[in-house]
Amino acid sequence: MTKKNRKRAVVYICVAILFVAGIAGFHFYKSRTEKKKAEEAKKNMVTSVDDLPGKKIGVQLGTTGDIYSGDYEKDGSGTAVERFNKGADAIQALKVGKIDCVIIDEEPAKAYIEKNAELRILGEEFVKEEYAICVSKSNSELRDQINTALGKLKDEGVVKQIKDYYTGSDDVKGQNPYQKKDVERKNGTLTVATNAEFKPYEYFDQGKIVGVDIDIMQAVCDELGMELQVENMDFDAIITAVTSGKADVGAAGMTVTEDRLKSIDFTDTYTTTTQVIIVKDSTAEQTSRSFSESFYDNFIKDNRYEYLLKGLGNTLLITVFAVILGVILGLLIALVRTSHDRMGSVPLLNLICRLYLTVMRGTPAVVQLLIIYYVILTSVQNKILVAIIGFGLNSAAYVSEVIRSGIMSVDNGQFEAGRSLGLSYRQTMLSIIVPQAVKNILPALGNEFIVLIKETSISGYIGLMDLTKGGDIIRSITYEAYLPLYAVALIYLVIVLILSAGVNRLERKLRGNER
Amino acid sequence: MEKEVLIEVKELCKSFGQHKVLKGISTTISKGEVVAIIGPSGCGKSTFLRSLNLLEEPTSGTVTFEGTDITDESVDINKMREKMGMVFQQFNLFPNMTIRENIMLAPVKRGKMTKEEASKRAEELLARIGLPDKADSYPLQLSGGQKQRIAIARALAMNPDVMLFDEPTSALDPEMVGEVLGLMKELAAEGMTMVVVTHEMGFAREVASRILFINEGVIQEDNEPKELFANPRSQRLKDFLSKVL
Repeated sequence: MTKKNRKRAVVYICVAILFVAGIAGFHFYKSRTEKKKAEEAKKNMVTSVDDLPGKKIGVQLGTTGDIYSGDYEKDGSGTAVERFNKGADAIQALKVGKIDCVIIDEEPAKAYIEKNAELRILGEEFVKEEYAICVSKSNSELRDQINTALGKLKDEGVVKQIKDYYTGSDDVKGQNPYQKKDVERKNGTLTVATNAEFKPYEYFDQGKIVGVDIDIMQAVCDELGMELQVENMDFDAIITAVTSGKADVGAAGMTVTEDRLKSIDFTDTYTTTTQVIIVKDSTAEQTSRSFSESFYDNFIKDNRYEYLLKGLGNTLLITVFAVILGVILGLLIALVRTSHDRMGSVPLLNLICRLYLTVMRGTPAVVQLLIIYYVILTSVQNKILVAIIGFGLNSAAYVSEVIRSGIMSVDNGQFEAGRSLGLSYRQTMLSIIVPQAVKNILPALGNEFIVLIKETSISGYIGLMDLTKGGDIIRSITYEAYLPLYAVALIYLVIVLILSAGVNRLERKLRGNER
Repeated sequence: MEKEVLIEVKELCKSFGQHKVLKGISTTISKGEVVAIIGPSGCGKSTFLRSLNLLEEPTSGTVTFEGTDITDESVDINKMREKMGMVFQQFNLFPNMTIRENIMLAPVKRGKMTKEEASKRAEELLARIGLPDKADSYPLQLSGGQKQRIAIARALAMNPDVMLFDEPTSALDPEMVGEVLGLMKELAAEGMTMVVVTHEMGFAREVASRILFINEGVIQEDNEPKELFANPRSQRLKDFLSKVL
């Protein structure tokens, strides 16, 4: 090991130690403030529906709980409704005392408290509701077909069989699963949008999405002679996905409401459920688990680490190809811009490029990604491809400015020397200027890639399972925030450290020949 | 015997915004001539030289090279430049390439030679300029004089019909000026047509076949070296010579 390498190894170890020390310190601080919080929680105790005004209510964005509790927000009692992308996030917020209660569907609520001894469901129901499958308004033919199939399945007792399997009393639960029928599937594919964080209606089990809704849709597909394809996304994205044609139907424990009927059609309802209130039970003993138990539960059990591995794979895949796309496109834009600056040629192309830069740098990447997925590339089902295009286009805007500054930094004499030898503008740029420019901008470019790899963490917005989303899925199964989030953070940190080291190395290698 | 005209310049004007640098320059350069261009700084002599291969685009006027008006937009200027080598004050070697790659780049990219031929040509040229062992060095490892000799070799690799020198010794330490001028002298002796913007009056007097004195954007005097130095006709040239000699 050379002296320099040793020095750097020390730096990396220090970073890792700081990271761990930071976490430990934070937990120490947390345990001391826990007591204070518990007292406060007692004051804000919710014991019935009448207690709700003035409290902090957690809901899942776009669910009926969200819609109904919204009424409390307007009555001037100081009620705050906190809307979470996932039910599990709301539960975690309740556990750490950030909110006073969570309003959510009964079945998932049961699943949540099963894993969290300090939570309980209030005896009083919040509201009763019925679930249905949503279909685009322009597709009444499909709606009618599904209704016919649903009717038949209800008559034959298949719907009851499925519900019993997941939510029935102990004597029938888990006994008689729905078996996919062996029928001819010549009527195409039925793409079903769902939000697999809603046990028992839809959730991840050993890497696969399962649940009441999924089985019912499988049964419907069996009736219709169609192939079932399940697309996982955020709950509030399902209706958009169906109206934009990304998915044919949405099945996600969705209640028929006035507001939803404005933008989408529903089939007949297939089940009745209740919205309940979950509160923190101050009398229950705090269950504290050891690190190894927690580690086992989050990563080892049911091979849950595979969510992280698969997510990491997707994150790397997206980043690598987005970087390639970004550099190629960014280089083209930079060349257009510099040749315009130098010779005043291609004014129209230059204008287009400037417009592109303004838009891409002036809007958030997550909004761009959503627009690309839901509006522009509606027919593309491959989410990884969409993400690569989205991040590649975004990155190109930044990369092009970096490359442009690099081109500008190369002495004009280099350009003149190339041209005086008879090389064309393009030959001069590509074989003389750009290689020197790249060397000048390598640190800035490396930085851009580091930003990009972290930016891909918003891929979850289009339902893609990247590293962050992989951690989210584990959280939604285990209802633990710390370990999955730390694991995800640590993995990002390690990738970034490796990447920085690689860029440094390349930089030194490129500079070496000039010294 | 009538000498073959290589470059013909007619009424060449160049302005940078409001500032007129060249105000109508006309001259011809014949094959085998060594033309030195002298004049006070800022007089437009570099701009004139750079107009000859269109590194500066003239505002008006024409430059005809081997019978082709190269200011015509339909002319492939790259083809023309292949035959007009240029050497810069700041050498402008490509720092990211070895000396061999510097010399090989244009012949290979322009399809004049294969890589093997170009590499061989590079070695010949390096042997000729007395730097045969530098083929695989990088420019930063060389002295200024060595760099400029290699810049000359790089231009020669394309087998140009004329060589344009833009103050080739002005950025050199005094002790290195000699080696570059020596090489240029050899080139001249071999019959290479050369146009040299220079402050080296000794070189101009000794090597040039003709001297152009440019002042305030026009050719003020155009004469053989002996005559020009011995009998300057204008007061301006007298003043200039009295300062530089």
